Amino acid sequence: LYLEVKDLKQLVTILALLALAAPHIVTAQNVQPETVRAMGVDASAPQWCAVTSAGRQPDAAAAGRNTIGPIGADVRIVDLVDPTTLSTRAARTIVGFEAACNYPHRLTVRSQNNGLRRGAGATGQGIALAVPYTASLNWGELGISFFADAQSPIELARVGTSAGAVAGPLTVQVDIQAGATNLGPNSPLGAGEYSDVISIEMGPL
Amino acid sequence: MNAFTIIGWACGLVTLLVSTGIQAQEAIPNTVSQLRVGGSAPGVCRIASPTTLSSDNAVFDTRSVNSGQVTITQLANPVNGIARASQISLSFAAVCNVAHSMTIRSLSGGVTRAEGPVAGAFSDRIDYDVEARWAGASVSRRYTGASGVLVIPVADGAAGTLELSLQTIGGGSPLASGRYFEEVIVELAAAS
Repeated sequence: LYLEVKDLKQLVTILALLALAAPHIVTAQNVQPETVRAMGVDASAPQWCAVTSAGRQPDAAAAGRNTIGPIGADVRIVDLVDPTTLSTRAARTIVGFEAACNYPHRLTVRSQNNGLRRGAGATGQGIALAVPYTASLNWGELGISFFADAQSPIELARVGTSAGAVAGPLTVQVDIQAGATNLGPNSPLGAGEYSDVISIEMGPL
Repeated sequence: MNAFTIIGWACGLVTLLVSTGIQAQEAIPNTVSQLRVGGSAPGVCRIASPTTLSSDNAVFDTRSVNSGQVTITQLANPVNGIARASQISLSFAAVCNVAHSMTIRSLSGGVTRAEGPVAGAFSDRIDYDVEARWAGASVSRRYTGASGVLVIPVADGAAGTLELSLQTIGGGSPLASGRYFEEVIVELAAAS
């Protein structure tokens, strides 16, 4: 840098300008355009499963199948009793859920009553109070089925595992055979309300 | 759970740590869905047509789904006109799936002359015994002219065999000629 100074006034002026410009000159000398900054991002998605509300699945084999619903989470058997035999009338329902689980998981299916079981009410000699059924669950490559034999009011559980994440339909089919009761074929069913709760649980292995 | 936490800034390096990574040891909640399946069984009672278990001087014929007839083969001794005894036991397949009662009703209180009573030395009615067994209980009565009912109350439902035995009493005065008739009603009714 060369400056020709002719008098004192000019010198003062130049010094003043240099003083003002000095910080910027220093800064300019520190700029290094070739600098690279590495930014590592380490993140993980949470493990989760989700199941939507239930919906009826088409059953091409027979219309109706003596059930209605689900309405909410309830499937209703239209005629539980055959009017001729007073025993169980056949019924079937196929219920679908939209479900997803983004990690290898365990799937547990439970029957609360081990069959459709009657609540309070009289029993009596030769009168059945529970209805057996077969439940079949399909979820991805996984299939779980069980027979709730209605012999005793205990919780029934079946467990399956999925080695990977699964997303898609989860279906539950419930089949009730004609004449099926806890006392044997074609026993009359005692009057009252019969029900069971099937629980589907997804969780860690 | 999905918020990011900046825990460091040094030497031009930004380190981001996902908070769920820190909390990985927390239990992952299970996802549970439920399906309720149910139905209703109405209170019903049924009696099928009977079969004959045993009989003497009487036969049973089914007339309709809900009725039949017991015919006394020889009502009176043809020599002296005195009533002959008869007996028949019937078995009904029956079921009542709720608390109920079984009732036997006699409309005439005896096997009675259809054309009406007669005066004098001749008899116009044959007395008879009834016995019924149902749901582990039994009732019996002799009808001697007054109608009435026999009742077995059952606190629970029941399914099985209802047995009814009718036995007419022989002897007494000679019977007036004519047709003799009685109507016995067997009823299972749910308790109200």
